[in-house]
Amino acid sequence: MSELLSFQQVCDRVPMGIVILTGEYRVVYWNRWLEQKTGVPAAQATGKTLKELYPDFENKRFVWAMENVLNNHSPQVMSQSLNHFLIPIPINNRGRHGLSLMQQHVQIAPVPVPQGSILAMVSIQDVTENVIRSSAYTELAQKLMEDSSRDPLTGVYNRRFMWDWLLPQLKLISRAKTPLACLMIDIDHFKKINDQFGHAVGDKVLVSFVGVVNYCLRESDVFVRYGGEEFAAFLPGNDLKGGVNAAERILNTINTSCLASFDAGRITCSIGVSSWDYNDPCTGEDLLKTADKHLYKAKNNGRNQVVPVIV
Amino acid sequence: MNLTEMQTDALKEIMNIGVSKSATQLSTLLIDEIRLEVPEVNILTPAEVNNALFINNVLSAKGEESIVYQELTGMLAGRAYLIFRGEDSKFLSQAVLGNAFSHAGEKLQFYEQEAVMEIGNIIISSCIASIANTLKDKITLSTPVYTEDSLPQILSKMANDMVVLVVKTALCASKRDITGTLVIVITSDMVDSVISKLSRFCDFKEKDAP
Repeated sequence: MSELLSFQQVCDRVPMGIVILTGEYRVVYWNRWLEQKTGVPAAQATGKTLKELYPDFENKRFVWAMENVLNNHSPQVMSQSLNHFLIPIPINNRGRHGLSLMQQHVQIAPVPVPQGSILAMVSIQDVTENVIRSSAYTELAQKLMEDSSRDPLTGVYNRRFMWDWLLPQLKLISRAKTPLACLMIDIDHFKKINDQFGHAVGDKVLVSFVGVVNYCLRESDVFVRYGGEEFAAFLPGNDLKGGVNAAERILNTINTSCLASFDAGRITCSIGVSSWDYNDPCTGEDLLKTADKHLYKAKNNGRNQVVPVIV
Repeated sequence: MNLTEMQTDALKEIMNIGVSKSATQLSTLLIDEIRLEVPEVNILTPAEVNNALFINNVLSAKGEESIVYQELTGMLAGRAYLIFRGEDSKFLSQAVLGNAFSHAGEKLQFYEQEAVMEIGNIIISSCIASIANTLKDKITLSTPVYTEDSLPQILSKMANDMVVLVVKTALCASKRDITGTLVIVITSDMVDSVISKLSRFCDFKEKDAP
């Protein structure tokens, strides 16, 4: 049976692109799938390099992979994730997820031939549908993730996000040797506001409080609703002094702002500050614990203040 | 199985050549500054490997690693594994593909696996080519395979006469440090020929030295 099947008969029927290249990168075989998808007939492709067929073809990664195949006989994979495609093949569903070219998974294998020379067999799989599906899935996952990492009332991050963020962040700053300030912020007498004016007013206070604090923070800072009327803010690049300065700025802005329907100065907050320092590293839990201890002190000292005080 | 200091140095140098070749390639591919270092090279038995890898914090406590492997034939017959700790492979795909993918669940998605497989393929083939070229012999590789498995389990299934060459590489991207470990498993009868080739290489270098 096997003698009835020629190499070409088989390769012209496989649902993928097969191109065989010489050591000089010239095409010696171009299968039917490629003819159909590219519109380039085998007769036209044979003897040419990919650069001659596609003048824009400039692919250092492919050259490196080919060198490994030809010199070291080592098969190479070029994934769609990192390379997207090898041969530019326009696709019809233009616009779907912004793709206009076929996404390809490429494998290059050495094919030894008599007289000791080596050819490279490049196989090309069309994975466009996979790419579209996985990007749709990723978008969805991203959205779900985003939703599940935020507090629905105020829109700031929640505790779940905080822990996901804090751990890698501590790894990162310990390598970069940069500090991180942590602020624990609590609205003073919030229970009284809720009891006296109702939860709807309490919610409005929380929302406008978050708006004011967000205004005082940089885009790179991470602001978290820690629970109830308690918030945490992380300020990358700030040491304890920088953290205390930022906390005082927040405290003063809250003091001079009208929150919900309350006059300026009616709503105040207390802030405890701690910091992570390369010379004295601590765990994420300890960072929060110290800030919380300082917050407790600020409350005991009469509220509407920042602890520690740095002169 | 003990290597002399000189043989260890030679092996380290060979691996450094392989690894630095792949670093250039990875930098272009990942559009990031990638440095690869070879901090340790050891020849161990499968039992010793488990301990060594645990001590060196290569294996994650959860017991699952992202592994890319390729079969070897020729001067080295066996398998070459490149292992990334679960959390590291997540960081790796995050560095490569952006945050969106890394948030899409605990396990690596297909898209991320493909990227990790290609990176593994680049590192493994560069290192193996460096061994073959320096020791002037032939090693043939299979196409790479991606798997999520526990290395101790893979090693425990291995015959006692297998020997493991462990090369710890640290992949430093500008944003993150990721540790990948190259583990080459070969039969022990092959080790002797590798060591003798290595000593010939060392002798040659010594004679060559000014």
